[in-house]
Amino acid sequence: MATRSTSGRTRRRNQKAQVNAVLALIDAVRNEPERRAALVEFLRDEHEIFRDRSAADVVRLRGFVMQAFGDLGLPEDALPFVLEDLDSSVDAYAVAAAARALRGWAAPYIEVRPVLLRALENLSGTDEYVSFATYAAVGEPGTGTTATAEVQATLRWLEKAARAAAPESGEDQRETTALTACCCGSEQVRGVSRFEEGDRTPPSQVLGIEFEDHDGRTISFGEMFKGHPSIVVFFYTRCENPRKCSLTIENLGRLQLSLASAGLSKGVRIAAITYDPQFDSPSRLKAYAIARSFRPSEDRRLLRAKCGMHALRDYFSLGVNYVHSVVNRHRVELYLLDANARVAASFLRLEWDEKEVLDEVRRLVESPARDRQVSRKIVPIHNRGFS
Amino acid sequence: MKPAAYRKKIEKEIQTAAKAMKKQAAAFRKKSASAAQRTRALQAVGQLQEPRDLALAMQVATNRKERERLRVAAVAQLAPLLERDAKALDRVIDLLADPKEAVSVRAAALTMLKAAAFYVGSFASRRPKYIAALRSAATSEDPMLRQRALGVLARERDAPTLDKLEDGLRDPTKAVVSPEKALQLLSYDSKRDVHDVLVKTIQNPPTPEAKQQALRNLAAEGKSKRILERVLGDKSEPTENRIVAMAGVQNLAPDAFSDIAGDIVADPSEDESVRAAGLVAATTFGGEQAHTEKLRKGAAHLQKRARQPAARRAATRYLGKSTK
Repeated sequence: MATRSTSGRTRRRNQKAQVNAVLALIDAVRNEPERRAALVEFLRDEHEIFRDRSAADVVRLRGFVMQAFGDLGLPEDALPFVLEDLDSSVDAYAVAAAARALRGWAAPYIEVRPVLLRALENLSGTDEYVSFATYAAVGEPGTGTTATAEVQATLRWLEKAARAAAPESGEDQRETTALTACCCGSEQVRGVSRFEEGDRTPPSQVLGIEFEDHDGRTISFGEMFKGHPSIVVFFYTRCENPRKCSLTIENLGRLQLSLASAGLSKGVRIAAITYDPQFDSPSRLKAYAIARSFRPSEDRRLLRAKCGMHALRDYFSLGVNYVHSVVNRHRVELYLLDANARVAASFLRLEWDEKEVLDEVRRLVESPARDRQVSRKIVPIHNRGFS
Repeated sequence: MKPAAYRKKIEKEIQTAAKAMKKQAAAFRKKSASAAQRTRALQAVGQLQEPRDLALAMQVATNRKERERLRVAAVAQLAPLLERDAKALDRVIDLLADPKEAVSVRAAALTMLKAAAFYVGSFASRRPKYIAALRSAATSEDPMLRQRALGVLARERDAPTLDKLEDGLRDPTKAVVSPEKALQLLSYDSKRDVHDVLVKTIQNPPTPEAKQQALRNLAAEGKSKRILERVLGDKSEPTENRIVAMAGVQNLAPDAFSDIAGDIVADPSEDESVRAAGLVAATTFGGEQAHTEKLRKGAAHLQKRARQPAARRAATRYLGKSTK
């Protein structure tokens, strides 16, 4: 494991060895494609392999693994990561890799078109030539490809796949067929998970964690979140991707208004917790939120952990990683906590649907007892640490 | 002057300027004129507007048989053409990309393209080609062109470029720019693992400028606060380094800065420039927490006793804000 105390040279040597191991695994899987699911773990943001690695290296390693699915076939478990990069990445290498990976999907769904179109928007002003010929390859005109070209190729491939799936149907029937085929898995794919009463982890390990809020006041996890349902997002002010943290806080501001319109303001707390507590001082947090129309207050706080960040990461299974103290990779993540401060639902990776979040909040506020009656168990695709 | 007379005066000036522009454009079009005359015409014309003149400018810019200075002047006229014609944009990008092109022409193309990135609507679709062209220019033997291209690429956070700069710091035989320049360009990417290089540069600087730049770069990383505080507190460090370290501490720990700055400002044996810098930072960024008794006392002392006028001014400004 590469740590700060390890000399730079040793750390780089270890990191190179890790990359070589992953590349060897990709080669091995090319010979045995049925093992492709073994590669999915290298897409997880919090994977050890990304610790203390430059953000650019993380993009390259994840991207190179992801694009391999274009040839090997895309495992269902990898789909949320692919859609995430198309939805919110502004890095040409990552988007190109995701677009390529999607073409390895055995049963393509028409409804991913909006995500591909969003990818084209995200690329405006950030596209460049990329190459997946080798891990270290640099894209050039003539030999490389561009993210735009890859996304457009995937859009054409989708059209072709849809026509092949229903050759004698009219256009409307084609779409209906595709939607029906996908809807049972759509929540998993969209990163939405709900946890029944019995599946929620007690917060005992985090109740004592102390936060400093946007006004410099100290409040513990228990004081902030116990006694009422809460909405919790994670972000940091140095995030350079406008489709992630900046949009998260903007959306939180809109959610704040929607909660009020829906008569759900009272009794629901909102918290935005920074991944970067050393840098994100109270004044920085406050200024960042206000600039994005989120109005901090007693029940709507921006928080930084004074200590216990590791415990927080474990409790939420946060999708974040660091190069020393700076975030090098993270996902969009929103959590709903019940009145006992336990995670009741999560919305990960993709920009969450405001109505869906509101409905979940309403469910928690209005009928907490209903949770015990729900019989249908929706198993989250990333079920780690919540049982 | 009455408004009507003023308007008449301005209108006459515009007409005179328009006539002069037409004359210069005609001088450029005159193929029998010397290259020097045509170059002077382009330099005096302001901005060519007529489509035929712009087309001619493109022809001249891309023709290797023309004199270099004329070509450079022609490239500088292409702005309106790039805005309306994506193929023209491609041709200028090709000029930048071509390693066999004259350095001055490539440099002129780079200047034009940097501006075009802001105002040309179709530029986004050409970005892949532009980045590739910049990477080609970044390998030029000419240090000016190379550094300019690297600068643009670094600001674009181009990973291969930043890798190259980092390699040059770790192994000086691979350096493509000076260490301080490499560090400055690497600072555009705060998510790169170069902490060990920065610390090594501070402990064993290849140049004084490199050490100063390394201190600046450290201001992005939370765990570097201790290193920066040490440099700030070390009176044997050059003043410039201590001021850079102070800015870094203010950036990393704005809420605790007043206490740190207070000790320095209140110390009459401290360097005046460093004390003044502390007051400037407290005045500009400090907010309400910056109004401490220690800082006020230190500022009052500096206002009365400082030899440097700038230090006295910094103290006056701080005290002025502090009493409001």
